[in-house]
Amino acid sequence: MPEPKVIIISSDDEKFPVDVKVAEKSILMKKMIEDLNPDGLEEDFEIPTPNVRSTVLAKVIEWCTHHRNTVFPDDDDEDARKSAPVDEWDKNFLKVDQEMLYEIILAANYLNIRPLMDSGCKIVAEMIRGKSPEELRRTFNIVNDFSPEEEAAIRRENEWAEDR
Amino acid sequence: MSKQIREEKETQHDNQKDVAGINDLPREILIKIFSNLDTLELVKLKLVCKDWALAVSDETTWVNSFKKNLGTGRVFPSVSGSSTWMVEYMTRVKTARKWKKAIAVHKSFQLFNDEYGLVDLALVSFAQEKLLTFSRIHGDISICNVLNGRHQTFIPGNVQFGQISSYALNWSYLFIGNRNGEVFSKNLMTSTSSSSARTSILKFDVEEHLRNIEVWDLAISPRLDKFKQRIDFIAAYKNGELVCWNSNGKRVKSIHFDDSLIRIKSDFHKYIIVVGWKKLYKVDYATFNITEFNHDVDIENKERCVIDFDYGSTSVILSYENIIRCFTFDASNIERRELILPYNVHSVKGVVQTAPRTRTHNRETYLAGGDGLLYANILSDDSILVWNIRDNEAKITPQCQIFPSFSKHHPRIPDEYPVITCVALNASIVAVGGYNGFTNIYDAYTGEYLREGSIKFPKKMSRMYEHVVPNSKIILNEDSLATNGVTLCGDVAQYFLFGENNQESNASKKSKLSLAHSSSKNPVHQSIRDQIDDYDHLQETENRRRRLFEKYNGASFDNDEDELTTALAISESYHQVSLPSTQTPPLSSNESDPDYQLQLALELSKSEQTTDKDLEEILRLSLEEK
Repeated sequence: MPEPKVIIISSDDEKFPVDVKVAEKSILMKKMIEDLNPDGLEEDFEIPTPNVRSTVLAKVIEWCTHHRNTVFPDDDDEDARKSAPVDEWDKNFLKVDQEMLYEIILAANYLNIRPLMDSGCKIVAEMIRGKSPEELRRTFNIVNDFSPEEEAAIRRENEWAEDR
Repeated sequence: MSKQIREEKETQHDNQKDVAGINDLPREILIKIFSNLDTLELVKLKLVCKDWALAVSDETTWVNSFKKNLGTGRVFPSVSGSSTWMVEYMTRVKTARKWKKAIAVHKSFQLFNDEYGLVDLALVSFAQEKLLTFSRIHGDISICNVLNGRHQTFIPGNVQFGQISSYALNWSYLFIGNRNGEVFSKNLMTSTSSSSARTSILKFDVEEHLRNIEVWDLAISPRLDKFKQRIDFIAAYKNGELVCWNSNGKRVKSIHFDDSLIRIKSDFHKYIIVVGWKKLYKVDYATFNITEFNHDVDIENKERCVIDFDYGSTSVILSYENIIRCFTFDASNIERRELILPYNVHSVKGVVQTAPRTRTHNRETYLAGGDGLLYANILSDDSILVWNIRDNEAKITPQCQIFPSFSKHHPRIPDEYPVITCVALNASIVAVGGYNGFTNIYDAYTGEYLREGSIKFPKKMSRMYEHVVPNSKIILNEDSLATNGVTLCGDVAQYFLFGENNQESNASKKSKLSLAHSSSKNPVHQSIRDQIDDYDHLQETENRRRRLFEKYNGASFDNDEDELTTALAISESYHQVSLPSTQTPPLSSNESDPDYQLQLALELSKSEQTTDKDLEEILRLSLEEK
């Protein structure tokens, strides 16, 4: 008998059958599987993810499959996690357009996949680092919604408060 | 580009849910992203757009976050000294983690001159690495390096001091008042031995009518005015006389109050605060205008009355018996807050939070957290009550109450002794001292136990375990980012540090400096040390070689087993050298089976035809044993 699969259903009703081990990379799905199948999985189990579309879900599953055997340090030491560099594979994996990146982060947040979330956030942070406010607006397509007075006020506050 | 087309298609496909840009991410994710950045970057982010500015420094968002994750109230002392909430948050979390988890470094040393461990006052300068202790009985002072106890100097007290009734000191002067109304200052820079003491002592000009009136409290400016214009020394007399001197010992002003003066405090800038039996007086430092208020506390025993002052918010904290009262002045008004403890509990001691002078003497509400200042009362029920002097509440609102329990190795405390001997707190933690060096560290907001910070007595100080000795002082670094301090217990002092180089900027500067000026003599030391190391290494290798040599020559064996394994090894190697590869038995499969190995060894030794009887005998014996 083949091992029962977890079938993840995207918002646009595409079905992704995956191994339990892969699905369990998501703490949300892991909890769901454990709670609803206390004696272990006996038949295929469907999990709908109504706010993740198929293209994003495919990416997330690709990540989970690649990391199916990776053991992530399960400690609460945010400092250690923060200072650790992004895994090379993750870096390449997350070389996608901004929109996709945000959607992956959102999906990782929703599905509770902390290592993916961390990697995503670090990559965005990397994009922010070392840029001037103007460059940041250009990079992220943000409209400056400050009035000149407000902007001047913040600049003053920054100088005043931080240069001591 | 094809990619763009694809994207556009998708955008049209499900327009509603689509994430268009970074600002469509929920704020908590935005914050999570930002939290990967340095604090300097964060300040810059505020300029990008309103959403980002809010994520970095929106007060409501962050107050909630602080409350939820760190247990602080609306107002709390600043760790980072920044007005940006996110900077404060991250700095605080980092510092707290250091207190909780970082590796501890301890250095214990003996204060040779404090044989009886009577420390009434201690000053520490972590920047200058100095520790000064004062004992009131004889007026003795000793000074040493706070990191390692080196360069201990002793300044003995003087007979002239008589019966010391009050004292105050800064790094350069000791200020002494006695039962006979005499007041002295002593220059600590010029008096290092008793022979030169005569010139360094200055007896102050005191009016005739104050003779034989006990001096009840003294105050000394932390930095004396070298132009000798300002008031630097203040004394309060039992009969209500307040006398002010300049640093030359010249009397500048005397004020008489119809009250006994229990305590005085001054910031030597704006106010002199005087506490009497019935009233509280605010004296302007420049004009000597007096404003008075009733404090409505029936003080009967001045020793049990604890008075502290927060110069930043001009508040006086008065704790007596079961009353804790906080008076906050503004221009003409006085605001009163209080906390009444249960009738059978009283306040034993009070401690103001350790903070840089800029924080204790000013209050800048624009700082993240509103620049609060914590205060701790040690209560007679062996607990510590932590509250915020500047929390703007109508009543004194406890932040947390800590009931310390020390590790099981703590000596049994005799019934009449209090559990808590001393307390120190800063913007992050509360350090609570017990006996024999035992110290616990708690979170200042949640009261959660973080770790032990007890003195580790080296072997030569193991005598400390023979008696129950109270800790006398815990002093934390003023720098709110630093995670170090000093604990005093008896005649032992311990410097402790959690995590390495907490003051990175300071330390790096210092190391550069020391590198620069030690380059002249260090190479010599270094080369000597290197040579010693080399020699040790050589000696060690030599020894090891000799040992091995003897072993394999059969000259000496540690035990039977050793001999056996050696024999096996030798025979195996013989075999392999003489009959290469072809006859190598399938060792790998059966390697774990000792019997098999033994048999193999037997066979091998036979085949070698060296009739080593002893070896065979041993091997056979060991086989039989199995």
